Amino acid sequence: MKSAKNIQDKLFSRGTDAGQAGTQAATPPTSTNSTNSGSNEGPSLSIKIPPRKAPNFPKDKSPSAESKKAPRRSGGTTESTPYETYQQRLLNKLGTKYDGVERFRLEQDEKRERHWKRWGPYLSERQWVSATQPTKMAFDG
Amino acid sequence: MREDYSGNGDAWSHFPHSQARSRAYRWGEDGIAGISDNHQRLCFAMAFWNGKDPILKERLFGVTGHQGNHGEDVKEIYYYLDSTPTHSYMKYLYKYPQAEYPYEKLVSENQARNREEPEYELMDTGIFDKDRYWDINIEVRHNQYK
Repeated sequence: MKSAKNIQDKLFSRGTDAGQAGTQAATPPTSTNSTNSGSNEGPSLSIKIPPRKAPNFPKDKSPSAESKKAPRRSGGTTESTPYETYQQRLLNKLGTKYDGVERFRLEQDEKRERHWKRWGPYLSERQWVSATQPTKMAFDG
Repeated sequence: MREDYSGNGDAWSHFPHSQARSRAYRWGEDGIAGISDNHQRLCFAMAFWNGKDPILKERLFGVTGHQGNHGEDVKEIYYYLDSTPTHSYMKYLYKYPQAEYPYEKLVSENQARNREEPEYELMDTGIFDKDRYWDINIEVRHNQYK
């Protein structure tokens, strides 16, 4: 049980240097320190999380493929990003028929172009299923 | 309630919370912030551990119809914060106490109260005192750049 206690201590920062686990600036406490010979607790449980990079959106699958070459600036945007947002591209493509990105997704799902409603939440609080499977599982007598 | 294939039809007692982690579900699924495909063939849900409980927090806990003084009720604190009509974006918040979860106290206290009295909720146990809990925000989005 001592090893479980060690894991608990490391995870929940009861040690002095375990609290730095996961931060970007701090180095992982013991895992990369090859000169640390005093510890016999096994590998460190810290995780080195790399700094967050800007998202790399693929440009060739957008609804208006021609806009990827020269990003157009619709009125009001001042960002200097090299790509247009999905909403902007949709707006440019649909023009006056633009009703909102979510409305576009709903129509796509209805036309079965993309199955947006295939994945979603289920009621997971408590098993709200029919309580009994009537004929298959009921025991007689 | 969960699945019931008892002989006597007592759905509440047949598959209690204490057995839910050990028995396979045959039709249906639970979990925290669960998502699945439309046939529920593949399900994803979150599980947590505060380091104090004897069990993981894999599903929300509540009192059954027999135990609750107003019937069954979930004794947890969680919120569905946001969602879109196609569920292309969803946000869920679960407040997980850092102290040991008072499973037995919730059941016994609610059983002791009659229906005229208010329910004994998780906030009443004092487990959130001094704000010793985690806000677990779960965001799910569809990848629209497929």
